[in-house]
Amino acid sequence: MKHVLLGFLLVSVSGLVGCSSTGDTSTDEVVDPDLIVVEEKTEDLVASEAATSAATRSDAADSVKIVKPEQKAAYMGHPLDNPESPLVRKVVYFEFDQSAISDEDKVTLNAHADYLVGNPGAHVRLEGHADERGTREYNVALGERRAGGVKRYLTLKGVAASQLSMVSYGEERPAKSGHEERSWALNRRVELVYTKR
Amino acid sequence: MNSLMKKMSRRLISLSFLLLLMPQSHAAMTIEITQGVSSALPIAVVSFAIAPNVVLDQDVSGIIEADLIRSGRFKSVDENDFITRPHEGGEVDFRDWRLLNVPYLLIGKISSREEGNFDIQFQLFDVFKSEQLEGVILRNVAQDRLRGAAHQISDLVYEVLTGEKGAFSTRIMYVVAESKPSSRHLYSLQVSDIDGYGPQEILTSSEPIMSPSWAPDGEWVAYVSYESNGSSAIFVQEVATGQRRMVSSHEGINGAPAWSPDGKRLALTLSKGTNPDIYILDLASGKLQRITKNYAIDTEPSWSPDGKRIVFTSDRGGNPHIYQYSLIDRQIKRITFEGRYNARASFSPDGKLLTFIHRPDKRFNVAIMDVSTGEIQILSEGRLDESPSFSPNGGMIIYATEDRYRGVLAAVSVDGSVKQRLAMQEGDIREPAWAPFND
Repeated sequence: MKHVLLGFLLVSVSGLVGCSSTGDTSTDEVVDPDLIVVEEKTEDLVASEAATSAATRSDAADSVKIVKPEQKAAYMGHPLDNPESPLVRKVVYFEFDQSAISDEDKVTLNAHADYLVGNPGAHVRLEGHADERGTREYNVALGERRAGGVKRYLTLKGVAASQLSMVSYGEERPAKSGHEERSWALNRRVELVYTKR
Repeated sequence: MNSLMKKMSRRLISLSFLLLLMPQSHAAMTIEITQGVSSALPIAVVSFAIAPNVVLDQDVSGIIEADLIRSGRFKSVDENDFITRPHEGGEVDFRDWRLLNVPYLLIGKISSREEGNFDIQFQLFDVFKSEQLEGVILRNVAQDRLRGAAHQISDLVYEVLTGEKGAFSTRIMYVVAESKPSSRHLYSLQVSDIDGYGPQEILTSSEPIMSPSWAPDGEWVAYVSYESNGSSAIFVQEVATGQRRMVSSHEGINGAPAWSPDGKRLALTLSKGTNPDIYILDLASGKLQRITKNYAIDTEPSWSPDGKRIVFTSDRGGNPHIYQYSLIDRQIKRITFEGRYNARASFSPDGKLLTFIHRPDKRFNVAIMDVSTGEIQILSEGRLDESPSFSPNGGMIIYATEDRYRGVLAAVSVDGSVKQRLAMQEGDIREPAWAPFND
């Protein structure tokens, strides 16, 4: 936290994806206030990347529709695709070697919990992932711990366990192929993949 | 050894062997040697004489020399310093080699047979004793077996001079992930010579393949594949025939298979929908025995050579560390204490050393630990090194590292003196596993 490493572009994780800084702050995340990008803009980027990534995974079933502000009132699409709703976000992010859910991501998960409770026929596969650092099987375990944390959170909000399944890919399926903290932050994630809506 | 390694001044020699005229693979091998006060023995390898009208697509003596240097036990002598270039015993004048202070001399010649194959003769000498230590003719070697013959000679030379079995004729297995335009990967499991030549795909999949592990017979392998509905499952497969069967497909993680030294059981990781623990699967009966029961992550099991202990990674203490389970008294004890991240341990063939991934600072490096003293030595200096695997004679460790963000394989001698990078083919290469001896 006290110095910026040379040759290493490090962006504050809390600024980038809005995670609360739980736990392991002694790892590689070095906060430099100058590097924190305007929050709103960054979130849009993250949300659209996440949606794109989720869409790729589920064979484009969740493709994002760009809706201009004046059309807001007239949104007629599927609620899970509504860009004005937290439901459009289908990825939550984590700190290095951590599985705690941030307050920001709880907003996203609360919306999905409400949707799943209201649509008992819907089913979500929770796909856990880790960044590329560390060993592969440990990262598979870490990805599953993250997916398990999201599953517990959703079931505590009333979602039936039968509506949720889990798989962990560890570091095998990165959302971003980069090799620095900015990519790693986007790869430490759980994706909510709707297999039935 | 550790403090010595740190103190010694390091000299960097870079040798590049660009092997042209390769019929199938476009392999480029680079050997980087970080060498200090090394105990490596000088050996003069005189380029083997090749009979007139013989065209070889392999540099046999070059392959032998590269093998020997890679082991860390030998260093080469500059051919420009040679006073003479003998090819058979009668041409050797030991005084020429004593002047260069070279204790060992390897010479040879290659002749062709009528049917198109080759005879390779080599002789190994002790210069100061003026005596021949070994002399062998490999008869009737086919063109496509020249590399294999060269590795065989390396094994013989290594064994004569060190008293330990050479491992140059053994194979390695690794996973290759190739990027496709669709941004999805094509995964393949491949087996090749230890220098990366002669790769053979034994499995390809559009879903991840992970954690390949050799059976002690060197004929079967186990691995994790996500091919069935995107979930993990463990398979065992016979390399030569491709015959395989799925042995574990429980809910959640089916991971990290490791063969027992008797080849009858697999240690593996199962989460069964809760959290990962270590189990032992009896392959004949399918019976599962649970080894750990803990809310933490327990994974990456590996057997001791005597089959009495299993080491594994656990974060039960907060950070990942190596723990050891005794199959005798069923006790679990923690065995790494240094640093905040130690994972994926495996034993050396004599059981005296462990290699694992250690995180000294921000890097993830290959380390070895003396099991009796607990002393750790770091052997690699990449940013994200992974998957260390001992050679079957215990002299070297192969591991995965990155080269300009691409996964490549590297090997290091256990004393840390020689590191070699294998840059073999396109794609991201990972998770090398060194096969046992063939016999």
